[in-house]
Amino acid sequence: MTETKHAAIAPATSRRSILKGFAAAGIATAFTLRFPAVHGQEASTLKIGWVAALSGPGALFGEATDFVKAQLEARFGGGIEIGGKTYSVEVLVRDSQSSVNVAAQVTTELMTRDKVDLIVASEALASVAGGQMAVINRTPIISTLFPSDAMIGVRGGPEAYSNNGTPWTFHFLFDTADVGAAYMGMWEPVRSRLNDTVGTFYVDQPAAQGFAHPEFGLPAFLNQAGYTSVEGGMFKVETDDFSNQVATFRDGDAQILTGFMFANHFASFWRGAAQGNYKPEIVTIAGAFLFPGGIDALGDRGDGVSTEIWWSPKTPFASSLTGQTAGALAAEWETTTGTQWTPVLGYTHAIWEVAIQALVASGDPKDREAVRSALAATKLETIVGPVDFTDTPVPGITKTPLVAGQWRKAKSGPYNYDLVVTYNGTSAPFVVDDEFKLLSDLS
Amino acid sequence: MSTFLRSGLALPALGLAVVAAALILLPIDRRLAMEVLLVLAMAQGWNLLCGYTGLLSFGHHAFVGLGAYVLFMTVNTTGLSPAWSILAAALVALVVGLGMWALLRKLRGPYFSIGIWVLADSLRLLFAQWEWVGSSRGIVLNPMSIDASTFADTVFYLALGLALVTVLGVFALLRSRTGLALMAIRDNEAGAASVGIAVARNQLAAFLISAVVCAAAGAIYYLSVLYVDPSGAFDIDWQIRVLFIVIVGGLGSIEGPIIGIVIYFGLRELFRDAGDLFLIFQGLTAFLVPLIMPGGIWGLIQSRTGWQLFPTRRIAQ
Repeated sequence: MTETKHAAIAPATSRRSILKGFAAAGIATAFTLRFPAVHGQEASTLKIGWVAALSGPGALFGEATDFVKAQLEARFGGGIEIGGKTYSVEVLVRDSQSSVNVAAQVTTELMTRDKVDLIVASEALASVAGGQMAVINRTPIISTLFPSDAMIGVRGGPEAYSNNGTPWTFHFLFDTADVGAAYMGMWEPVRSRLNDTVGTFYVDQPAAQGFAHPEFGLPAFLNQAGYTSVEGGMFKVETDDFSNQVATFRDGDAQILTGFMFANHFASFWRGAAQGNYKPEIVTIAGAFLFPGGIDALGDRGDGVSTEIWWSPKTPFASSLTGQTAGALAAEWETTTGTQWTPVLGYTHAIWEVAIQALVASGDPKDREAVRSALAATKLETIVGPVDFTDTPVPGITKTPLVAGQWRKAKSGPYNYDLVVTYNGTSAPFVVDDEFKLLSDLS
Repeated sequence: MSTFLRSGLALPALGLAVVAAALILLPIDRRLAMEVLLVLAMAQGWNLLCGYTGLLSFGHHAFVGLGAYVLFMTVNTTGLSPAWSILAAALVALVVGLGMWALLRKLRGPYFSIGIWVLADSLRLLFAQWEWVGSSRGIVLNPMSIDASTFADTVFYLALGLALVTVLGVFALLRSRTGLALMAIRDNEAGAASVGIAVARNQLAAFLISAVVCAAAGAIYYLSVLYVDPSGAFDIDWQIRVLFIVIVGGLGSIEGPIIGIVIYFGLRELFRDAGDLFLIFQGLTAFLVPLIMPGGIWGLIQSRTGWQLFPTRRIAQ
């Protein structure tokens, strides 16, 4: 199973991973869950669409779908009671295949053909491509797992996103600036021991382009904090030889290395760095180190690499649905699936917390305007932290807390690496597990 | 009237009228119908090029994306209505198609296929870097330009219109002198050239028609989504779909793509809730049909029965 995870991250072995995926996932990648109300005959049915990335390059982001589905069964079994009335619930799960076209197609289909009352999009592309249709069809969408600023950007700016103050799409996640601030904060304690030279390189891909943006992305933060950049530039997704970048960073003596790429890119780069004798002291990469599998792919050489932390078992919040703490949820996941926790688990769970809260608060979940208003009035403590749509600069967008930390060789337990929080920013409830260490301190 | 009946036009005219009436009157899912009609138009356009003039294009998604972008930029910058902006999309596709032809005209066989694929990918990269069109973020259609209450119907009728114009247009073209030339090229390119048919000119005409049709279809499709981005609009999946539909249905006929459409969307709807099964069956179909029926499904039917729903064959008298 762990091997499948590596393969899913690394396109180099994608053919094998696809075949394994077939075997592992069987065929049940899109499905409908039906939860009849106990008093079936008099109840009306609540239809909820769920768009998730169950296949394609983003499939890791849909990894928690089956698990959360099982949790919903516990919640929706026997229907759901809202405003004194019991509703049967039908959840229509659709696979975006990680493609913007498919996401647009299945999302609009959910609105126009299935006429769902609400769309839950743990695949943000559903909101990217279907957001305008949500306004036209007056169907609310809740989405996550995509930087907030990037979401506003792709949807044509704040006014367009929020439909001039009456949004039909509701999105929660931190933004690129939070990531930049977390990186700067995380490096600060060890900065005096280093030369202030930062090597940067990015994969040429939409989310990374926002990250690499000279005015709003990471470069702006590096400039502002007075770091000198050694630019490795953008590289194509297909790249697997990084000897140029290795030489550039080595010759430029970049003691800190940062950027945005996928796990397979960094794994190739890191092998090249070892051969090319480039030994940075800090390696903080977005994307590549998000999932435990990406660190496992580095073998023994993943100790001390650092990242922003979306969600981890140490996140100090609990679920409004099950009462579980983040640690308990992660533990349940690890026993059920036999694999290490994933950051998407917290968010996949949280998006349903928000959805169910809004349906209940609406009083009449078949009235989409009521559900829309309930979402706009949402202020909920979830397993990823507070989700508050009531007081935000752009209606329909809110941010969730972000911290940063380091992957360390696990001292005990079944997994190779553990993620420790080394920087908690202003998110006070987070506990700092350990101080940030340079790679040479750990070896 | 009797000449009309004897000309064999009655059946296709009646058939199309019945289909159009059914689509309009029956309580069907108009969104799905819209997509089917647009892909049908693309397939007919592409088939005119590949099925008749032998130019196997792997890059027609270039025109799908281009049409979408031209429509969005026209609506957003000039305020022209989306429906009229489709004409702008067609016009730009014509001009870009001419430019592409200048680069591709000396390429034959696999070189043409790969060459146009490269151009399509270059367009995707260009649009992903071009700030004015939103770069990789993509662009949304200005919501002021649409009327929410009639929007779904509008795009459906636009798609229906395009599909009818394309099918009838291709049919009329094939019954004309040019059509005779195209079919001669289809059956024997060297032979056609030897009897004085201007092969290159006919190929250019077919190329431009297919470009314009794909651009118009792309424009209408993305109009229906209200958002376009380079990875979606220039997705090679558009090309693969058309390829599948035409190859399975039957190259070089009007009926072939129609059968291909039925099979493609039939499979998709059948396995709508079954994830990968759709891809498995699509792959099996794409593999087995050409193996068992080299001329596609319609090719087999035609060789057994001699039927023609859209009579384009000339019989020497």
